Amino acid sequence: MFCKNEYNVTGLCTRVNCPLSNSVYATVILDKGEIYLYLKYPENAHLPSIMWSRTLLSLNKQTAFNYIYKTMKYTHNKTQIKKCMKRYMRLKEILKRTRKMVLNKQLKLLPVKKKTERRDSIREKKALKAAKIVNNVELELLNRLNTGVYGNLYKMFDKKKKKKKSVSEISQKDMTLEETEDNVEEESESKKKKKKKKDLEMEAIESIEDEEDVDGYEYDEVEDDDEDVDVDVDDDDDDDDDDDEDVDDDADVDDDVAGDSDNDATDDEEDNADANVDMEDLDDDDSDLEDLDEEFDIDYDDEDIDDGEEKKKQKKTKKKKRKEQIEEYVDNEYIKKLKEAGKLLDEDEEIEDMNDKF
Amino acid sequence: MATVRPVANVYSLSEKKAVGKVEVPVVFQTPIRNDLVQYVFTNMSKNTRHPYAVKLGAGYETSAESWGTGRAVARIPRVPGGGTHRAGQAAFGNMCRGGGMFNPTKIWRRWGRKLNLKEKRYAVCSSIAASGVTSLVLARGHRISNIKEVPLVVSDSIESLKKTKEALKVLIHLGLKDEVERIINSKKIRAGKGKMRNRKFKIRKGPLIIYDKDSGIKKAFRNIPGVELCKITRLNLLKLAPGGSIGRLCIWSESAFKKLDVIYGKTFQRGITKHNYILPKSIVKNADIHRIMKSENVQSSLLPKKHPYKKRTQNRNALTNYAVRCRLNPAYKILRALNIQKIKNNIALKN
Repeated sequence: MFCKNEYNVTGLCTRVNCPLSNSVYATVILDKGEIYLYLKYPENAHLPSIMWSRTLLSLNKQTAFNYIYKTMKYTHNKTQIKKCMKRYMRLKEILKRTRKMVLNKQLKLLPVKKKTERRDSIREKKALKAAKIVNNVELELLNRLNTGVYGNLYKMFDKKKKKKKSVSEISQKDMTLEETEDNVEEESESKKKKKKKKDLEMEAIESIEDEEDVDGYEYDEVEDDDEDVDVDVDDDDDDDDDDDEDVDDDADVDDDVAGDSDNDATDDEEDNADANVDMEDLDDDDSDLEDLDEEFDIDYDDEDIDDGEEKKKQKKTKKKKRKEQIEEYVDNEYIKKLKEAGKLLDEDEEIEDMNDKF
Repeated sequence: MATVRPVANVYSLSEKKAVGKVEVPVVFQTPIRNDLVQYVFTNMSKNTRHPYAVKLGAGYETSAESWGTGRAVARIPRVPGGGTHRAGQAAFGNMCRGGGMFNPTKIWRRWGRKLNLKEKRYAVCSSIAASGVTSLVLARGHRISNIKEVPLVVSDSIESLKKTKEALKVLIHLGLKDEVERIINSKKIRAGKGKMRNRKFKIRKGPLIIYDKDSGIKKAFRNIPGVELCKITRLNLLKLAPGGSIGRLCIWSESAFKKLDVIYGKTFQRGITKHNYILPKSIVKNADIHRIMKSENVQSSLLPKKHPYKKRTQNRNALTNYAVRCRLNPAYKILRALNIQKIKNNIALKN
């Protein structure tokens, strides 16, 4: 049905259109962007290399058509002439379209290979895990901190130096125990029930907090930890957020029993009991706590026997102190000084940028 | 009928020009009868067959006899005796195990076919003539777009080529590079049992080189894939029209080309000229009927063309149909306009 011969005008395999069957024939062929008129005459039929004579046609339709008609007028059929003209128009269209395609972006459709895609994605995940980005970043940051890149900015994350006390910690504990013996028996039962409700972790947290409270109360000189501040809090959010966080944390950590009534009288019993109880369990919990408290400095040795009201005051004072202390931490003036001095490395700024993006 | 030419050029092997001229033999004017060629080919190709058959006594080399009725077994002949599995088993029939086949093949099958001498000669002449027509050679599939001439006649120095390298160079020089490449790329492993029967590869057929005297040409060209050689005195239809298809590409040496005339009787030479053979003539000299009809000689003697009367279609009423009315009475248009004007004037006057 279709002719494979390259010289065929219409492309159909018929007696009329066959370039081999006809001794007199003509075609129009597109060769490297140029349109040629190919003519076949019987005079050259036996000389295959010269058989097809070709002439370049102009891209102007009128001149081309004129030329075609004039050359083929006396030798070829009228139908053949028309076919050549039509083919010429078609080839022009093709040229136009190829030009357009070259100018436009060509979408190349590539097949998605399931196997390779699946394999690559899995390998990416594995590589991501293996890279341990978070850990490495953490280490890097710590290194920088330790080397002193940040100067005095982030001193809160430094490890606290333990100060030696004149009174031994154990003797202090004994003191507290004797005082609260009376209360223990009455409230031990209720506390035991409460204990069952609580998680051990909760107790541990509470114990920490209680101890922290103790610390804050007894040692004003020492720079306090942000006891109630979570680990995830940024250094930038120091001033205002701490107060809120303190309150919230207290509320969250304490039992479901009393939401806002933590500061009431009931607290005394609870806290005392907890403190007493915690004393016994302290040694057991130490290992757990140590993991949490790499950055935070907490002395487990001391206990607080005081009432809740006193604790409130303590907290307030602590907060004030903290505020003062915190204000010291992020001293914009200080930062400016450092910058001017040139002590602040550019790395910090970069890091800040990264945070924004995140 | 193929276009008749008086002379063909002889081409040199090294230079790209014609070295001499040869008169084209009369053979190239024989009518090209591809139907005859096909018939002769199919029968001629049977003549080289080797007989095959089943062994003459196969399946019957036992003394089996039927047990007859009353033994509660089928009545097929059974092997007598005892002591083996074979005893009592069925024999002889095509359905039995170890029995003979139905209609065993015999060696006295009619393997070859007889053909009339004239038929065979006609076929050969036809195929030679077909090899002289460019279109037919192209149609058969040979890549000859770059050849100088058809039929391709080469100087006699081709017959004394010794090396295959030189032979290949000659082919490329003649413009047959595409042809050779086509053949080399066409080598494929055959599908089917032919693989086991020493016919592993299938490959296209290339040019046929026809020579007069072998002084090395055979050995030079025989290793090139697709190329076949043939002596002029022993032209073989199976090579000239492979598969029964006419128009194989033939390369003639000059002396071979000249000998064609001698073989087919234009000039007599004892021993070479075919005895009492006159080349076949066509019944119709010019078989192109369309060309004849359209030629001046015929057209000028014809009567003028009669146009059929226009068939009356639906009748149009001239009184109501304005167009038809106007056609019949050209003045009607003006008259109508005048009348309309008159009426308008009257109306105007009344008002």
